[in-house]
Amino acid sequence: MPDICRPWLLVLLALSACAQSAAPLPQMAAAHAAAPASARTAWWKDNRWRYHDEGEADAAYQRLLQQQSAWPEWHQVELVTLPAGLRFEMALSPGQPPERPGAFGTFDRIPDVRYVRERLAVKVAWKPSIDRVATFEIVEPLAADTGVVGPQIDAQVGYLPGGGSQFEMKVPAAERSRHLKLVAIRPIR
Amino acid sequence: MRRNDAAGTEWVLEPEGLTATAPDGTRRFLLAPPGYTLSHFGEGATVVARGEQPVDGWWDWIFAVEEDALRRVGPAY
Repeated sequence: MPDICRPWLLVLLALSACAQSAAPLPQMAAAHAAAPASARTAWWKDNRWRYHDEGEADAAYQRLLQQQSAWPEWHQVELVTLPAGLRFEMALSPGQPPERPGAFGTFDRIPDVRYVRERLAVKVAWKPSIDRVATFEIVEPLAADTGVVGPQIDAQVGYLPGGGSQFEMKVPAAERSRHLKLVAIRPIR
Repeated sequence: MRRNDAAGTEWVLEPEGLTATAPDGTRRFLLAPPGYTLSHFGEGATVVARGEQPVDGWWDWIFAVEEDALRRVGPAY
């Protein structure tokens, strides 16, 4: 293919990927509209190798912008039962009571907010402020999907590489607390 | 859980919904979206709600508080 055609092919592939993605919420589309160009460059450096060609990689990048999956594309759902006694951490936002935990936890120790953004890839739009970390212990076996945090593109921060450990509770929100016991809570900055 | 906004309206958040009491005593109630219970106040005029089922892969969502309803804005982590 002549080099002059390549940019147009990339544009067409990107548009095609957008058209095929599951109807994105307009607010979600707006949330990444201002993603800095450097974010794509950084994502490309880490992830281009996963795809057969540039068009495929670019389509994957567009999917990430649109769908914002918490998991990397290579993630294979692995449903497990987390046993009683297992401890994990969860970042909390101001005013978020620990008795109303979110759906995601990590087996990493969370040292600071930067870690939450970069390694746990928590976009500012998802959790604008973070002020505490809760340590929970599972007291009743908990169904979960486990794996590695996928990358994100944040409109403010840029490329969030992810890579930390992550699990997603597979129980309705109202049942989460029944499986958990709060062990400790500490402030982070 | 309570919060007062700049207009002097007091907001009370409960899992079932939001109650707003204006300075003149007028009250209105915004029901939590179906399938969600309200968790806590978010930034600005938003609340975080936790779901019974994931939507687009996300269990919990941020909802904007509008005149007479809560509008889904984006995922909450």
